[in-house]
Amino acid sequence: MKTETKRAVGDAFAKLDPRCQAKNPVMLMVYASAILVTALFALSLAGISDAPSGYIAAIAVVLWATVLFGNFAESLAEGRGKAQADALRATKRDVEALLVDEGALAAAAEADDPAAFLAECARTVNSAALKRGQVYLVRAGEQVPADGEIVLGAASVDESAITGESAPVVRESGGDRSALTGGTTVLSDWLVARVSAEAGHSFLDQMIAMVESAARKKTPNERALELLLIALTLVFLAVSFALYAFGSFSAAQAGEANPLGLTSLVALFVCLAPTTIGALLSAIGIAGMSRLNAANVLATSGRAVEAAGDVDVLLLDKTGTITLGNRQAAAFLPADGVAERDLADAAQLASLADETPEGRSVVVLAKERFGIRERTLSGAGFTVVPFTAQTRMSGVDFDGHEIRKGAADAVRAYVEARGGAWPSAVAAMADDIARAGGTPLVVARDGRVLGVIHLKDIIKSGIRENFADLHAMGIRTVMVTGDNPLTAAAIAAEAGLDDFIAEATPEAKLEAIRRYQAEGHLVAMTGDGTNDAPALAQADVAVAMNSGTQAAKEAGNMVDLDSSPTKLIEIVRIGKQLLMTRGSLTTFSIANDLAKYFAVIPALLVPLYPGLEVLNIMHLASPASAMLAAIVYNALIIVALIPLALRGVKYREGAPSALLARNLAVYGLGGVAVPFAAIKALDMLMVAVGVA
Amino acid sequence: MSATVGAALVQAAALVALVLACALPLSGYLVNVMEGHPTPARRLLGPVERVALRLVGVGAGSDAGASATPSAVPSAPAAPASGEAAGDPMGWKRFLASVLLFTAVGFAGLLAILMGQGVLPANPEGFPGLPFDTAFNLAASFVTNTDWQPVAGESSLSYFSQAVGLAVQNFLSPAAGIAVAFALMRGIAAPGTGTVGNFFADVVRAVLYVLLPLSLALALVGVWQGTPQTFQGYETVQLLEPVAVDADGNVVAADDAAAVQTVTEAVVPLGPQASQVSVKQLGTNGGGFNGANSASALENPTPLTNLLQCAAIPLLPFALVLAFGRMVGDRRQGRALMAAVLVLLAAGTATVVAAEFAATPQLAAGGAVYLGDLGQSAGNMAGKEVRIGVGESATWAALTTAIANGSSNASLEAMTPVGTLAPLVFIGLGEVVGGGAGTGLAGLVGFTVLTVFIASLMVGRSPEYLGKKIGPAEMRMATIAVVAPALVILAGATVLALAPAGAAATGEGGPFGFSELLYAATSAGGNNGSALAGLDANVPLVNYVLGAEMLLGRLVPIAAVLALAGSLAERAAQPAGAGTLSTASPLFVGLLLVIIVLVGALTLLPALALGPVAEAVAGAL
Repeated sequence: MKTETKRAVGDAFAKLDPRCQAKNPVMLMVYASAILVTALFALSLAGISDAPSGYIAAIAVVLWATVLFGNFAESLAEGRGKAQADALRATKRDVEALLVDEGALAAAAEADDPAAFLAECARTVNSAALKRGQVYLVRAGEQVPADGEIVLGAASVDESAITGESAPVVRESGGDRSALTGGTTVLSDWLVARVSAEAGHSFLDQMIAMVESAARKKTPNERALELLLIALTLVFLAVSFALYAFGSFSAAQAGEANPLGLTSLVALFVCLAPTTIGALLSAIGIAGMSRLNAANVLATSGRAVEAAGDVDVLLLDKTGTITLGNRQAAAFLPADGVAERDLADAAQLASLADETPEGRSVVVLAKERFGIRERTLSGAGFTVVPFTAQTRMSGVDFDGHEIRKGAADAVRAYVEARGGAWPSAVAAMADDIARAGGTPLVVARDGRVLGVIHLKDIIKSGIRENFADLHAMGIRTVMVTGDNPLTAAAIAAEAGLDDFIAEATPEAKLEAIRRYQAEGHLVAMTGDGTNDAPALAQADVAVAMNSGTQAAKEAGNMVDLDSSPTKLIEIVRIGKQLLMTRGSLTTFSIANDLAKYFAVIPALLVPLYPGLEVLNIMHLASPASAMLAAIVYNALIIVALIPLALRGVKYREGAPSALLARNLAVYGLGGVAVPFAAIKALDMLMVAVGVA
Repeated sequence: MSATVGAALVQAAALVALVLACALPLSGYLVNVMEGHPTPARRLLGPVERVALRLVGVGAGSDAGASATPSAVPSAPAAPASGEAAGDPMGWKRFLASVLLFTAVGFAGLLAILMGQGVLPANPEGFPGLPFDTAFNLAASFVTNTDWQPVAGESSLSYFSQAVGLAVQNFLSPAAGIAVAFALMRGIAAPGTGTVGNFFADVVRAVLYVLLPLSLALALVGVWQGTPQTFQGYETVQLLEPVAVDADGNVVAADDAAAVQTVTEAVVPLGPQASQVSVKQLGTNGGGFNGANSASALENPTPLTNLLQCAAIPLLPFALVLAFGRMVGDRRQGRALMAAVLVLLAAGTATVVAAEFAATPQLAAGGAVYLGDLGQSAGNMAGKEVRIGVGESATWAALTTAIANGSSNASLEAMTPVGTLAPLVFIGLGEVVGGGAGTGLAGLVGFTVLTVFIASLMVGRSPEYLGKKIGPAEMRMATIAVVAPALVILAGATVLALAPAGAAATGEGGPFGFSELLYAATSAGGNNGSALAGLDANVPLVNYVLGAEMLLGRLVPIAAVLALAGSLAERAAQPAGAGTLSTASPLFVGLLLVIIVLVGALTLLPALALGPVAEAVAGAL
């Protein structure tokens, strides 16, 4: 047995504590039923009984098993989180912290070696004693004592303890990478940071609490579902008790004793109560959270995960999510009278020294299209002209030739200054490219315009299909970009987005979120910078990048440890899958009752009216075997569904009606059919081994 | 299916089609008059409406506006296009408090009339006041639109009790139901305002524009066809063909040698019958003037009255279901709910009709039924009027139980076990298959919210219905509305089954005895009012238990539905998108049906197994 399972078995027994049971009303009723039947068994030993002792004992055992199976499901779901929490706790230990006072900090800014200066005057305290707002110094090889906002310095930090990512990341004061997480380790240099969370409230603490599910609150949908389950439980309690009354009435009329005993009625009640979903409900919620954690996303509340399933507007940053980070050369468009090969050749020469991804892509395109090999510029006579903000051009001078490439207006000024002509055809080409969302780079040699390089955003492969799926699920995708509206529209159209926000400022983002929310939408977004914080706080699902600032992380309700811009899509899927799993298992659980009725009702009532044997359509061997088969099925189905509850139901995108039809077919019809087969099989098995 | 069954079903389908053809325009009319839109009817009855509104202390909204600026705009157009709000709109709590107050006052008033009828006027037969338990039951019955009658009206109630007591409630109780339905619809349609309308204005409008005109028209047809409408005392008439009874109590010919007593005279109960019969049918009431209800030749004298009375049963419930679509701004929503109702109704009607035509071998063996071919309508004629026949009796039985009406034109207890099973299921489902005026729509919407919840989870969305989020508060209320009738019925039946007085009240032993008891508890909790006679209903325990059931079975779901309306009214509507689950698709309607049937089956199956099912299978093995 795996340790995880072993631990869950132990926990299942520990959860027999009534205080644990009280959290789940449906299972509390099963628990009470198990105690009641056990008491009935004790009475039967004393000679007071309504059924054979063996039968009562069997029912009692199965009822206890039902309770334990429910506990086991929850423990198993919690187990994954506990293992993760243990690993995190191992990294969380008290270390010595170098406490710096404000005066020293001010003086350090002037010092030649601030780290050495501060180390001189710092006090050593235990990290647990650090208070919010205090400043500490952390140097290479030391563990960061508390969460903080970097105020001075830059260093590479190993964050693998939190993110699992072994490559070190750079953390520095100012900008969007100024958040420092307690428990990580500084690899080189030093940092001075101001404590942003005290011991017990740190990011690591929150993370441990979340993965352990200690801070898990029931979400609105979970509470609504629980209300429905409680109502059904009450109805079945009333049905079971009423059946006793009806049986006693009917028996009295026939002058017989009431064939319905308390044991059987309790068993009937447990059979009918929605125990399957009741037992698995909390496991499903915990498992959903675990799946999110497994995707390296940390939610501050279960509500956020569920809200992710409801989101219908996604604000996605263009760069990194929709397009690859950089633009790439896509075509050479020669001016009149210029061969495309000549343009490519000149463009490649001008770009050889350009180490930017755009520059590299020009070299590569020329090689691909015309087989022009890369040349080295080491030879004499080659002078590289680097890009400057003044000229806004780059290029190369060789053998008295000048090759330049740059933005259209810059090249135009350059050409016209040298007495060259600015061909209207080239101007038109440049405009067309810009209108199509691309960036035109004009190439000129010796004052003559050769043509235009078309640089374009490269849409990530597969992202279009991704958006189509989201669209089918009713989710609007909105691209957020700093580009001008023309460019933005072209990219949005190419990637299949529903809408875009061009020339986006943080204020524009916030405004857009408010507008969507006012229309009744739920909005999700990703952000990392401090200036994203207001928008993050406004969004319904706000995913902060772990690489982002403390302000961004505090404003969001999830942190993506991988800092991946496409994570939002995955988060939405996990949220939806969580809801689907809950709905599908509820349907399955309720649909099961039909078969149970056909097993139990004839078993209970045939002694009164033999004609009711026609309802025994499964031809179960005897009333006792029918009853036992039904409640054994009821217990075992919990165990059988644990893997599904933990894994979640199969998720796919599609129109809601298609999804509903599919899930109804699987879990509705399946829920009707499975128990008929299973109860019959259990009955035959019991007859075969001679139990009943 | 035999030809007779087919013919009866075709006739039933034609009847339902006729009702739908009338309900469609009626639904638009309902919305117009309830929402205060200008209509020809309002032009005619507007002054009456304003007086009535002022009498109940709400006053029309436009009047208040006009009096605030008496001479500023002398010729301002009176009716704004959006409709005129009468009285200040209420939040759900005030609306509910008004319903409860209204019911309590009606209950107390009716109780006083029934107990004091001995000293009240219009009592030519000199009936004494009813004992408290009977009066309690009857008052609860009529204020809750149930119309269960522990005593036959013509032999215990004065004209005053009938016309001022019961008939008034026959108007007011459906009007209250219609008000609740409109509150629910307004709550769903409200753009976050939190108000659900004004209860008193709704009642005034429902009575004035809907119940009074329709009842008047139907009553006039009744009078024309021969139903009495008079305050004159009962008539004693000579029998054309005197009958006699023998020593064993069997009816024999007057000249039979075994006759011990000859009857030559009969008493014909008169009274204001036509007016009460029309509203009994239209207002989903069901309480007849006479004990025999519409099987009586006085209440239902001709084929035309039978047709119209039968059509009147589902008219308002159907119109309200269709009005739902208009009120929420998407008629497909109303049509979808209507489709669900029609599927259930068709299944139940076909079951009753087929069962009654097939009869049972036991009935044939007992000589009650001839199963051979007579070349005409055969089947189980026991307990049915010869002039009405099996088909129309069975259709009526299905309609009157699907709709929470409870009137009858044949005796239910003489029907086959399966023939009583379907009506029992119809009532036991709660008021969903049409249900009572207003309350039926409310029950249906409760189930729809439940269905939306489960379906939404299955497609990975948080539940929303018609743009409104369904949160824990809404689910709590929808669930209460759906399960309350079942719990009330089970509780009532349990008490009756366990109490010795309950057992003693049943007329027969065996499964049928239990069916009688179960049917009474179901009819009361489901606010239906029909009965499997045989149960001695007029004993204190039965009167109290059933009276309590009627009150709880009506008021608990109404409270839940109004709370649901209130919390939906506070929510802002969200736009429907591609990911929104359609609640008007056949798939959704199918799921709704499955959930209604499943919830019904799970609550009713054990009880049915001991009653009609046990009876049906008796001797089968």
